[in-house]
Amino acid sequence: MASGESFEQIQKSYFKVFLALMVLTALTVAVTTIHFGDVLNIVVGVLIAVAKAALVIWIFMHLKFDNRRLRYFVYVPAFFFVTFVLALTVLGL
Amino acid sequence: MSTVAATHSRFNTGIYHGKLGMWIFLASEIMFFTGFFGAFIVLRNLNIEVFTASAHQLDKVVATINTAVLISSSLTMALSHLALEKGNEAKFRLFLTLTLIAAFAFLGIKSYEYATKFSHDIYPWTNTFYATYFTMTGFHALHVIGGMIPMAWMLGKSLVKGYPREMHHRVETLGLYWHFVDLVWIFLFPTLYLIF
Repeated sequence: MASGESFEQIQKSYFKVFLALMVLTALTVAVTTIHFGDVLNIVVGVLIAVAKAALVIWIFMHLKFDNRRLRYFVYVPAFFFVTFVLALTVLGL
Repeated sequence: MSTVAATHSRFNTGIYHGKLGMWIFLASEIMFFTGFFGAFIVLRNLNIEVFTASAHQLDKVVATINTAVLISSSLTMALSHLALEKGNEAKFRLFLTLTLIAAFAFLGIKSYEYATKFSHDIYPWTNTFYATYFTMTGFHALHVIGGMIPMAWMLGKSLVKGYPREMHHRVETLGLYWHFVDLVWIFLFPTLYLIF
């Protein structure tokens, strides 16, 4: 890996991310028992999924350690994904 | 000299070419799954009653277990690459085997879910919710199988000839793909099972 972090540090961050993903999975299931309202429940579910995705991309997929320009491979399609999904939702199609 | 060319990664774009290629592929994969999510939103808004009633028939407990299985497989995949990068091939094999087992478990649990639905006379053509459900989870399962094939190949190569440490980049590239499959599931899980 191109970063200055040691193997031990990286291994530790893998386990931390794993733990966080498990906790967030439990959380996303737990919040479905609470009714914030139809729209808010979807927003909470999506926000937790985005947090989990960010952890996977940042640590497991090494974006934190890689060439910074590589991040555009996430930003650009993610931007289109969000725009597309929001457009469809807002238009109510 | 082809082996030498294959084991030495070229970095003249800042990252090795295999990784760049995988990221370009994954960017296209995001678009591919975006289409499904778009279809899901449109169909849901047109058939909210059908979607709500059908989504409530899905087994949340089994899906949660499957999510945990897939997340665990991402951890073992990452550890497997790290082990090979460190030069510990035995550990690399161990973690790769665990990843494969988790992948099999995921598919097994998914098959159980499908079988339960079929036994209740629920099929992809039952209604629009199940059409999108089977399409999205089906394509995701195909991606899981697609990741298992190179995993099995790497494991076989390691057992027969040994897997050189210099080729850890290939494991990292496979890992990128595998984590992406996990990532798609992270979005599919709340979309199909939880938000209704």
